[in-house]
Amino acid sequence: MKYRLMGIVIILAMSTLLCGCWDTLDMENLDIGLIAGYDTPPSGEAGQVAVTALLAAVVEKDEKIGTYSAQTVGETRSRRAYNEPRQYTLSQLQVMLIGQDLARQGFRSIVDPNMREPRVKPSINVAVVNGRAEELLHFMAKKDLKRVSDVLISLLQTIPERAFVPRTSLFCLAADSYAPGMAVAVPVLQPANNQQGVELTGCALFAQDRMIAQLDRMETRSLVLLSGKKAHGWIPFSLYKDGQLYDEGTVFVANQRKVKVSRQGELIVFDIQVTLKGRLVEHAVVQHSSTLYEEQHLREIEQAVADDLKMQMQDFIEFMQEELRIDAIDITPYALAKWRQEITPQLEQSFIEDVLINVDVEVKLQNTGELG
Amino acid sequence: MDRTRFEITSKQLIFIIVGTQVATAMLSLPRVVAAEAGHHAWLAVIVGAVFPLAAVLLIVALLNRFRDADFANVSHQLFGKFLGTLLILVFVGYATVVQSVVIRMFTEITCVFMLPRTPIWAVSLVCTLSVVYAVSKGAKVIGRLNEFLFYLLIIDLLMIIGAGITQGTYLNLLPVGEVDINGLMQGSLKIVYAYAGCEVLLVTYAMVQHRDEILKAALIGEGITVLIYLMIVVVGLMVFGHEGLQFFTWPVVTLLKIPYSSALGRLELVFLLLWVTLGVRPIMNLSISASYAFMRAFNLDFNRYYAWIVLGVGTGIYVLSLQPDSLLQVFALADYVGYAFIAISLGYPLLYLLVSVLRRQKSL
Repeated sequence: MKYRLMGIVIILAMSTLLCGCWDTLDMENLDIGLIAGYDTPPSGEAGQVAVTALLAAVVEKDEKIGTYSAQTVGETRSRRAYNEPRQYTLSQLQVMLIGQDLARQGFRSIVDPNMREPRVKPSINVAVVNGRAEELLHFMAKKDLKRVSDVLISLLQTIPERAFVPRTSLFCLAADSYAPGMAVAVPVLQPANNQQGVELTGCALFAQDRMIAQLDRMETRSLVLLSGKKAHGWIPFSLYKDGQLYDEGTVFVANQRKVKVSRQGELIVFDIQVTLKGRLVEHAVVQHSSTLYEEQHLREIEQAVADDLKMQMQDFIEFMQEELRIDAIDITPYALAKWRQEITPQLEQSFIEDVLINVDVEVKLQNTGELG
Repeated sequence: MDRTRFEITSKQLIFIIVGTQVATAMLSLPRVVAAEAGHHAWLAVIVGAVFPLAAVLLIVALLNRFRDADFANVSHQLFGKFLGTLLILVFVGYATVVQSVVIRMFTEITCVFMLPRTPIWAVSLVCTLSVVYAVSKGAKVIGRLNEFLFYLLIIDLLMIIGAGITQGTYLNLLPVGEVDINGLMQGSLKIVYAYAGCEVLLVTYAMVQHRDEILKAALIGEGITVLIYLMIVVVGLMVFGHEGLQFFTWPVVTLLKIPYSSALGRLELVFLLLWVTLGVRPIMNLSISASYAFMRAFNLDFNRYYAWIVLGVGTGIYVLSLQPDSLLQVFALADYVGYAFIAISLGYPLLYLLVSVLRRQKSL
């Protein structure tokens, strides 16, 4: 009886102290940030960073956009606190956009407050905006204010399922870009040429915390294939025989990568094997009508795709070694895994320039669908 | 006293040992070990396991020599009433300090990730009250709780493994050679605080129903702990690399924030919700050891005084847990706890064994 009484007293004491009470907040009192855009301040405004937040529609009918400029990200939050009636929360932040100018200056000032904040998920997707993030958000809002967050969140989350463009999380950006001798690729967004929405133009490369290059779609595809980032996408092909166009069309493939590293004396040699598996989507037949009865034709298409991609990848490797002078295709860890102590000091001194990178491409296609 | 309230099975002993060791320390473990041992941190986990394994072997070797293996009884037999009681009180004091560090770390993590506006004193108080209530029910309840909570731990571990496999690369663990022996040894010492807890065997030994199964159960418990720590450190290295680990205070929680989870949204919150129940296990286990040892030291009536002693130990833990000013102080205290653990878990059985041999008190 005594124990029972003691139990009841303890339970009553605990119930009066339920910890959630301190942290209770009504949804109506929250400004829920879904997308955050970071830019340099607009001309004429003081400070170092301008933060544009796209807020979820909680009480209002539409999503809301607001921009605050200040010296630091923390200060923009402080300014917001003086102006807005609700509490700004980052727990549902899904996308982080970095304006081109700020990307060139360096993103350290925006990554630190977001990685430090426990409510921000490091899995949120990051993109660079060709221009200003604030302008892109306003442009999208003019087209359809209800769907800005939907479009951006889905586009960046699902892009590797249909194009050879990397998906980059805040964690990848923070972790990989600070790895010595390595660069991280971030997708680039801009208003679409037809002004109807947004489009991805390729990717931007960051080393340390600065954008060092912007790649077009074809270069981005080479980077994705070489770095082994999982993606699916359509690749066009043209098949020539005796200098004449024999067939042309499109394949839809998924990629895989294997890396072997070896040494030839002092020279470190990377052998990258890229394998693409997929299906024939279409082919505009010139001389032949069926791949079903002539498997050789499918093999010829595979070879054409492989040769084309290999050439593009070799060009990219040359560009990476001679101009970027940094590992953008994530092969350094393979060398570190074998000779960590020896290689680590070289990473800061253009290690990637002095290695030999061979690439081989294999394409495996299936003829699916109802046509032969 | 109702002895059945303080009887546990050897199976429950396994879960008590795992429960006392695997809690808050595991969340920061990869960072702490990798800071010294680099990408060989996983090796430091194995080398560091020598301390708790030696402690278990010594404790069992010592208590096997006595028919009545009660810690208080053994202390009194070997050192007399005064010195024996003093040694028991030192153990009780040690257990209370360890619990206060664990509860504070538990509180800090809860406040950072889940209840940022709730004051530390409130979280700590609620946690202490629930521990006091559970401990007041006796060792049998604690044994069953440990067993049940162990299965929740498996769910948490599966989440960690899943995140590690999808987000990490084995390349961060290589090469296996090129071992920095000095760093490895430093790392092994750093991990010792995470192994603190096996010394509860000094007290729980007498509670186990079948004595012949104790060594096997204790070694299985230790083995499970080593395996869990090994897995956590390997996953941490795979995802962050040994340098990346240094940027995160609790890399195991951060690890669960990295994968995109469309169904659950925030994987780390699911993990932490389960972990909240797991985090109190060492406090319960050490608390019952301290309370029981205190009761036996003064031969107090369990029916009359046990609940009050548990409440007293709980109050001590609570007050001590509020003393550190910052998280850095808590981490510094955790380092001292590691050293105290070596002194208690190895020093006590060694000292007792030595005296026992010298006095030829083999009373089988």
